[in-house]
Amino acid sequence: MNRLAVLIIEDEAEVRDALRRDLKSLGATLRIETADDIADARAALDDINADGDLLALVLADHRLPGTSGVDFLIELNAAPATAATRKVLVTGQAGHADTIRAVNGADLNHYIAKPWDPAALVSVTRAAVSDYIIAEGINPLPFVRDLDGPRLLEAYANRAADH
Amino acid sequence: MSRPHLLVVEHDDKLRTTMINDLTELVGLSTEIVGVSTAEEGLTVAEQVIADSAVLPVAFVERTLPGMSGAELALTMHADPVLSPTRLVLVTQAASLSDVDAALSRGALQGMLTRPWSRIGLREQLRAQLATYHVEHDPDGLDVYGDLIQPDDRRRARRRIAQRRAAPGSGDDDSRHVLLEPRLGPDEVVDRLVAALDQVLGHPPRLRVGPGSVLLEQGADVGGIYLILEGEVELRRHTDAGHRTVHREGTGPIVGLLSLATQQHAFLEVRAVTEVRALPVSLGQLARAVAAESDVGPLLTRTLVNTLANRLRDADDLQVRIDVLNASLEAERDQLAGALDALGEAQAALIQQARMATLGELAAGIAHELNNPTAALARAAEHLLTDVINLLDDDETADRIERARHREAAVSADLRAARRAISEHLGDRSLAERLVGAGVTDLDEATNLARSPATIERLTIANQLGTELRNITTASARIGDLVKSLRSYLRGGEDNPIVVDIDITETVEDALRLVGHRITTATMERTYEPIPSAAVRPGQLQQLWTNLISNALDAAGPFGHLRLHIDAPDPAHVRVRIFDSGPGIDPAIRHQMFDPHFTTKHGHVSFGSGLGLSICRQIVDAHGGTIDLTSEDHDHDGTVATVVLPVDSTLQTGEATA
Repeated sequence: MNRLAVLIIEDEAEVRDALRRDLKSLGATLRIETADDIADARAALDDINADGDLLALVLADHRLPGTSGVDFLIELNAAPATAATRKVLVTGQAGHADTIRAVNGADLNHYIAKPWDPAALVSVTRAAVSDYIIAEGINPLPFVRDLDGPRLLEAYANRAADH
Repeated sequence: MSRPHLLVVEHDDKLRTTMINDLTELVGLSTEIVGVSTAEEGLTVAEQVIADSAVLPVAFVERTLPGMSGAELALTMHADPVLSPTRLVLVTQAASLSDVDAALSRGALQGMLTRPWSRIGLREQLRAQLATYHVEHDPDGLDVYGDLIQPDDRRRARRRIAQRRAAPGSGDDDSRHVLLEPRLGPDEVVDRLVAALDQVLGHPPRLRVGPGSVLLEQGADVGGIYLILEGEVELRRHTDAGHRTVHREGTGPIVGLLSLATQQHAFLEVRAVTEVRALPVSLGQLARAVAAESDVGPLLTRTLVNTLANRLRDADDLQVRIDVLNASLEAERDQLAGALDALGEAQAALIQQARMATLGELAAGIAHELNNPTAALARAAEHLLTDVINLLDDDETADRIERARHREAAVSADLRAARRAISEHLGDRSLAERLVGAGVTDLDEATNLARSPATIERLTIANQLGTELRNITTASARIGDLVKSLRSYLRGGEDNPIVVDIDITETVEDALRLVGHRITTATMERTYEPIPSAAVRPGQLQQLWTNLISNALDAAGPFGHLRLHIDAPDPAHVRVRIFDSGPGIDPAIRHQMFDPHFTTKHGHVSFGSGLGLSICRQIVDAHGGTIDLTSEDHDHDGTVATVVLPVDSTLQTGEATA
């Protein structure tokens, strides 16, 4: 079975470690990947694709070396394979203008301010991946326990009714 | 027919005798000369003469007399219809006429003779007075005076007598000529008017007053006019706001006429500015002169027109001056408004500056306070590790924690590569993922551990524990660095004293030792020319060079080239240039490169780097030098950082050397 992947893009090792650790509870259900910068993120995406997995969610830092996190999210939004991927900006200091650009250009789904609340981070991740599952018409049953159960079950019921 | 009489009223015997003798010499036996010593006697004599059917054409009266004064005698005679034809000449020594004003203004005095008189003066006075008297009152009696009255005088008198007998006011062609004569200048008009008045009125007395004297008071009844013969008068008006000079240069030669013509009280005050000689002419005299002499009317009119024209020009000038003044007031007001705006902006800037200063102090305070929790954090991480190790009786786990703690932060790509390798080796992707999570990258270790999943679980936790402790230490160290650079920036390097006799080249070498570890694959060329020693803050300069060389290395890249050139463009300055082979400065960011917080190096703000050029500028400014970064040097592809420092920076900072 294909796995659903969550990609964390963060250039500071300590922050990257902390984000990964906070999402560890979802590790059994989801594939958690990290990337140090945008180039690394592309390599990680290649890996995910090579394994036949799907990129369900990107958690991108706002400021990254070279290109801005917002630019990468816009790029993902423009590519057919990743258009449906949920996009969340994790940032310590997004400018107002950049945030608007992300919402408008990258179809940004959420915005998490640093320092983040771990419970909120997990809850946003669950909701975003659940959205992806429903939107992409993936069988929700394997995710009911760890993600947004009621909504996934409702989606399953609708799916069954359609068939 | 009885002889005409002349009356001399003089208290001083000697003066009276002289006067009688001088007059006798002029008129011979044709005239009876009577001398008396008081005004009262004079009045009696005058009445007696008239009663005897004789004529009394002229009386010479001393001004100061015991009892009735000369002026009072004049007024008395003027009031008496029988005695009024007699022409009264006041003899006086004083120039001032303060107590004879009444007599003058009512036309009771017809002449003034200043003592001591000259024979010629006396003769002219007598001639004019006799001629006038006889023209007016005794046309046939003019011939008795022998040589005193010349044929010319008689001819003129005859013409005037003829005019008087003709219908008054009929005028003749000459009058229009005088009024319209274009070549007649204003002064000439006045001269002719005065001459005509003298003729008709028998040389009326002149008034001489000193500066500041008031000839005519504002609001007073105007009984006559003044012709200004010499000196300057001004016309003033009293208002609630004080005295205002209305006319000065434009006053003209005639005053009082306007009020007289409109039958009003004096509208303005007439005041002498210099000593003034004036001819006062009463309304009655004026009327008589106009009636007697056909030239007087036109001359008067012309003088008046000239005077009014002068005053009008004066007023027009004044209006223009007021307009100009208004315009310049308006310009000044605009300027003031501009200055006010600028002041407002300056004030806003000052407030902003004060706010920044407050913010700076606040930041320094916070930076200081941050040291405590940061130190606590770092120590707590250390103690946590000790406690955990002591709690464990498992060397393998403890070793795993220590290894994770001292390992470099993991690079995501390396982790993925390790996972892939182990996955291929063991044929289990999920297991490979768990092993990598436990910090395992070695294939043999992976093979060994693959057999005991419980160990993997324990080692994963140990690996995480070590990594987290390392992260706490790293993060608190970073906070410490930020605090340090922030404090150093806020203090402006006050810890660095000025030292004299520093070889700036040495401070560059010190900086190179600090950043030397970064120069591995890049190449560097150094050109050190002899330079004078300088008074500088060496610690700050070292920071300056460290920043600039780090920037240049970043720009040049790992395989780039750096060139350092130190020289002295003149004996008072040292120049340090750092050339890099980088891509140059993007023009879009040029303007903000010296701003604090600006950095293009990392994805986040760091005081250590974000304040770099801003600190450089601050240090160079403190030394009174200049810093310039340019990518537009045609001989060089990359960027050139040029710092020029004065040899004696104490001149710029005003501080004592240490």
